[in-house]
Amino acid sequence: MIESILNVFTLSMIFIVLGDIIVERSGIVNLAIDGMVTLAIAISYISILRFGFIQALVVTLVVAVTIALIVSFFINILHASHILTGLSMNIALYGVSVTIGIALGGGKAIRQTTLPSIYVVVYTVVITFMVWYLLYRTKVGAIIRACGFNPRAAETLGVRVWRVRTMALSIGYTLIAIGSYIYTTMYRGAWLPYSGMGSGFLALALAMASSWHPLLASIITILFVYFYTSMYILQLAYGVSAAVINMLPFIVSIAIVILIQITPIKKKLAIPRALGEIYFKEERAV
Amino acid sequence: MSNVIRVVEISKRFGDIIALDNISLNISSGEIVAVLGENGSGKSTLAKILYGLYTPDRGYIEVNGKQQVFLSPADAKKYGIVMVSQRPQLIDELTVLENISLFLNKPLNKIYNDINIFLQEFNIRINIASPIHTLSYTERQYIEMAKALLARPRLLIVDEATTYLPQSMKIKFFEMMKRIVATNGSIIFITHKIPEALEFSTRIIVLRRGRIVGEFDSNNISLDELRRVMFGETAIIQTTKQAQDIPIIKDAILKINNVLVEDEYGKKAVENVSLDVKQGEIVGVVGIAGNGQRELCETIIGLRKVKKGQILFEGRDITHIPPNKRIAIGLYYIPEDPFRDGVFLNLTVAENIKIFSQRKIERKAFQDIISKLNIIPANPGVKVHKLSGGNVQKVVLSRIFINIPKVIVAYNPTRMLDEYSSRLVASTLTKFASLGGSVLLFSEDLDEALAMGNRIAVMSRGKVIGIYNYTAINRSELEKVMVAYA
Repeated sequence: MIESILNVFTLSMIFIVLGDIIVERSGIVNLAIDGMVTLAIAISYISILRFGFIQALVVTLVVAVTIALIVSFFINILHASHILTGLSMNIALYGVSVTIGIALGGGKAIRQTTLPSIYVVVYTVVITFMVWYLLYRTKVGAIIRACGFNPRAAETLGVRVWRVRTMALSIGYTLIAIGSYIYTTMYRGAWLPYSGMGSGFLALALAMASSWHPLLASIITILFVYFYTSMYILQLAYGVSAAVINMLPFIVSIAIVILIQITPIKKKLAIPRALGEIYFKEERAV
Repeated sequence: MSNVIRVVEISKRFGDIIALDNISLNISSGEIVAVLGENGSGKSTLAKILYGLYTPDRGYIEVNGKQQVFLSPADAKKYGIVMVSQRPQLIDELTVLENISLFLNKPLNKIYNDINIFLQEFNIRINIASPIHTLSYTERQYIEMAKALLARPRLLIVDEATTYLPQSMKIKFFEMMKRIVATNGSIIFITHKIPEALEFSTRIIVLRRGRIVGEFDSNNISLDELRRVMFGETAIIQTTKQAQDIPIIKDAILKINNVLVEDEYGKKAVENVSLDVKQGEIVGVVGIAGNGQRELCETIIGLRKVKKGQILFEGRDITHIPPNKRIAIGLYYIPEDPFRDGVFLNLTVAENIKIFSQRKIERKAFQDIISKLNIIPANPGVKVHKLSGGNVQKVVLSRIFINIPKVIVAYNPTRMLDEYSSRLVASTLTKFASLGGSVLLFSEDLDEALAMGNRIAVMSRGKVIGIYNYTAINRSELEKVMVAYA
């Protein structure tokens, strides 16, 4: 029962979604996420082939934090558009992932590890709680959210906005890398060019649908992935048309978003108002 | 070593505008230095450099004889330099407590009691666990002040934050400032109000076009002399005359009936407001900031939805028609902040005028308007962002001359302006009224409302709590009414 609701794919998506939430809570539109996920999957695949599981995790994390710093450099130092940075990073990272995947991996399968389902449940609960606690119960979390709400006021209160955003990017990309690593080692077990492409954008949408709240995001992700991966049973058992089944995950997600928007929950969820705003401290505020 | 902080040869440019040009300044402990200047004189830029929000192009700041570079307010705060901003710089979605905790860099539970004790001393009743967006504008200003004072600053920079506070609160705030000075702290007090500078400072520095043009002992200088130094050769326009008491027999041209408006968070911002403006009349609407004036004003010009009630213009129901149609029938708006709401900064003066008129304008007409309003530089091809605050507001005013409106709604039209430009705006509006136009003037400046208005309406908590004839009430009575229900 639990396996069908919470599988490793759900766990990997939860990591990616939560990572994205930390980044976007600091006010950065995380459009580079899809390229990042695709690259992290390729990197973990080839480094497992060459070095082993633990080393592969380390390599993937190092690459992810490096990418985070590059994104931060464009957005925080050069004050480039978040959207432009994200989209061009995506194109570059897709290319890099395929190039190194083919050059260094070349279609070989890796030994797939399995995670007992009880651990999947435990990890899901623990990481969701940790991210929620970080964002809503610690000072660092308050600072990250402050930068997403109003970077100018945050700066005036004495927050170094560029530093906080760089930190949020690094933490977020670390989680995204772990999610991608889980995807490769425990879910896929193999690699083809563009493996995992699209999961990043899916995570972006799921995070947005939850109003960037970690607890809600996990619930939405679990439900979405459940309907996305496990509903073929309906087709086999009851002969429900495939077209209807393919629609289900999206209908459920839309229903949840509507539910959030029309109930008083909405008022409790403060969204990062300054998301995507190009913040330049020296700009003359008139 | 009595010098606390020295500003040494600081210059700062924004594009091709020189905001500060080689400014040097010593601030000793126990001093209250007033920095006086008209709009665009660079006084706010100086404050922001001291607080680390801007980094200077040249020059440096010296603290205790050591050269410092402030890359962020976090750096300035380390040396006990703290600023009270002109508009409260707080994070709306976080609670009062979280905001102050971020600012003081201390955990929530450690400062909880300190804040409550402090607010009690000021007689301010605010639940510090509530988010900032539930607070009124004035309450936010209190928090902005409280957080700065709680930091026990060595140098407190006050950037025009006190100008529109109620008198009682202002006096308490100045008492706190004196306490800082008594413990060897110092204060930089930025203002464009000369009497305020004279009253509360020990030394006055006058800035004009980014340069220090005078430095005076507050006890040995007169208001007139300061005014002359501040504005240079520019002659001050005659004080505006009260709009004449023309016998008003005509019907109300603008009528607001029982209007209810909600704010962004679904709270009632304007409740059961009824108000009318007759032809040739100026109606002033006053009140402590954040009591629904902005919402009412934006509702009248069509930027906000009316939940209940009715707005009539010459007997026609305009409650639900869009802003452009309201403009077409002669209802114009002069916003508080011309930079944000009044003009397109990246377009030229001519383009700004053209967009508004929506019909062809002769080249000569531009020159006419420019010379009538004395816009400097007198070139219709210059981009608006290169003009100073007063001149930008003149571009907004130019609309009145293209198509003559019937009613002007003005929201704090002189707030961002120095004395010279304010008088120009005020005299334009009074002249407009004397020629038969009507003005609904929302103002936080009681003296301005009393000087110009035929009738004064007082708003508090979203309601109009009284309408007075200007002859029947004076400033202190008005203040009492304003504060009574706030």
